[in-house]
Amino acid sequence: MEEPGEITTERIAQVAVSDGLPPHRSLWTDAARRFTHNRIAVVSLILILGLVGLAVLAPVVQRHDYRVQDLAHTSERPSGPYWFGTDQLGRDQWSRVVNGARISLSVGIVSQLITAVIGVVIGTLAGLNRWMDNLLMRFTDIAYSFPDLLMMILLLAAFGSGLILFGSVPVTMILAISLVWWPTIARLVRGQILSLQQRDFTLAAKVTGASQWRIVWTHLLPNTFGPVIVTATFGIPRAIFAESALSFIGLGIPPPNPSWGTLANDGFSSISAAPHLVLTSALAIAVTMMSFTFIGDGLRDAFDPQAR
Amino acid sequence: MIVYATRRLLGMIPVLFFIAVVTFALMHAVPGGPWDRDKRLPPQALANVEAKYGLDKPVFAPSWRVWEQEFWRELPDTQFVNYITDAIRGDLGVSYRQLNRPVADILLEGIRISATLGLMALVLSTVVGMAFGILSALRQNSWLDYACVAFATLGASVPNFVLGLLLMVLFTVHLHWLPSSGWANPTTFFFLSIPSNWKQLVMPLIALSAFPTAYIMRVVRASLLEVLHQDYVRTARAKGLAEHVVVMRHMLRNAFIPVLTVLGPVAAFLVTGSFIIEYLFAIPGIGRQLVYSISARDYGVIMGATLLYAVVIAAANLIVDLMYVVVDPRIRY
Repeated sequence: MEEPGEITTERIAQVAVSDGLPPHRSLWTDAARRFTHNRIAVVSLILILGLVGLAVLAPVVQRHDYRVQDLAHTSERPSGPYWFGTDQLGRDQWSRVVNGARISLSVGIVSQLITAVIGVVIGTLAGLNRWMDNLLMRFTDIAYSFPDLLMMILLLAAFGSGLILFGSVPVTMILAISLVWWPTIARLVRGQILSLQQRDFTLAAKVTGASQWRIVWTHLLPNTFGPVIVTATFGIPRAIFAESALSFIGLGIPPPNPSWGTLANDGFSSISAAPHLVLTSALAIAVTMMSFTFIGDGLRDAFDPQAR
Repeated sequence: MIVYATRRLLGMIPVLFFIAVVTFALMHAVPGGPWDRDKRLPPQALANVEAKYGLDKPVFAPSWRVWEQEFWRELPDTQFVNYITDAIRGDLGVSYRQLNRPVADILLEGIRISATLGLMALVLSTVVGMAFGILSALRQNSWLDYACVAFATLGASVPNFVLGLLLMVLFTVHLHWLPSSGWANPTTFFFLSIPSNWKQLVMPLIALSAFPTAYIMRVVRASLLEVLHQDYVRTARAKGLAEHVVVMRHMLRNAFIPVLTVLGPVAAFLVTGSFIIEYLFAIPGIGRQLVYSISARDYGVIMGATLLYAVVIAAANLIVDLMYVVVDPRIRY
């Protein structure tokens, strides 16, 4: 039972409400409201959801099997049966682009999920513990003077990039990206944790006798999620770029798999004979990256209206 | 400040050492070796070649028995230790794939080309980005501002090789205005090569600088908009200063600090951008050398180029940090 004079968070909340302050609205509903008012972000989100739909339904929406070569129809321009034309081996480019969306989207989204988890865990530990903090800072010093694409290239070369789960989740590529990029989120979370520990609500929680674990879990962590989500969203187009760039220079996803980067590389070799191959894969990459950037902009403005 | 610079330079040593360890470990973990061909070398020949280049020695640590006996007397005889001790003496080894050509030569030739391209992209993106950032902030909500913001958004989200490919389709395939690739005069020093090969430079330069330009423009615009309504700007106007003095002396100086902050990442970006752009436009710079040497397991070139990149990025960050002092007298080291 509570002592009659004890100050609990519930009681502070009751007092605040009885003082006639505006009704409590959480950060999340507030952010959602601001996000839905951002027209370009909503349009981009719909576009991405459509793309995810296409990627998931790739076996249904592909017009031909993306692997089947039809040597009677090579390097054809876009037409009725071949919406995006065909490549040098007569494979339907539309089907290859749609199947490539699976690889690009899974690289973008899964790599950022993993990056966010590693970053939040290590960043939180660094924010709470001096020793971990020093370790993290030394590590980021090194990570920041190592060109990130080069590190990914070396990791992929050493561990091979051929392991692809379900035909669409390139595991080593995703791990390479996460392994190289987590320090960014870790540093962000560390900074947040350090500043949140100085805030009044943390002090109030300490005064009411909350355990360290409870303070971290209910007061510190939830407050870092906004910036982490924003950073991870901006990371998705960067991951898609990294994957397609590495595949484009031939050090990423190995060829028969239809990643957008390998498609662009295939098209590049016959750029004057069949420019539609380069155009379709380049536009797929550009539109996807731009949509994710707009969503990121929308989320940033939604979570932090002052940061414009 | 000299103390600070020295400390930073010394701080680079452990960072470079660690990068060397990681790169060495990863590249030796890559399956295969520099002498893999379609037709296999006879085992004895392979052993001879490996012995000649010291590749038969252990990569990092000798066996425990050797370690125990010899460690305190002299450094262990392993590939990594030999590489580092040679590198400290300035010997970066030879390329295994380019007829024993010294790695230092290869890097020197490559960096002339890569640095020409990179420095031009850096200057172009800083000048254009700042100019349009300033214009769009001073004429906020005009058509020019909207055009700049639209460009900044496009430039930030269209990747460099996609832009390069699109330019190539337009200017080479359709209009036949520009050559798609090559570098006419690889031996001339830095900017001396520009008059002879400006046509080859146009597309790589645009593709490489689009993102940094957009980035710098965004930062300049945002920081200038923030400064625009500060009290000291109003004071400067109130005491009757000419508009250009207000803009140059009071606004830009303060708006320049955030730009300086992004120049470090921009330099790193130009370095990594060069892998892809040099591959795309067949420019024989360091980026392309590195990409090829990784697939060819040309260990010496991989190590040399990686360390060179790390030095360039660390140096760029140091220069940026030192420039803060020049721009902002409040900062002292």
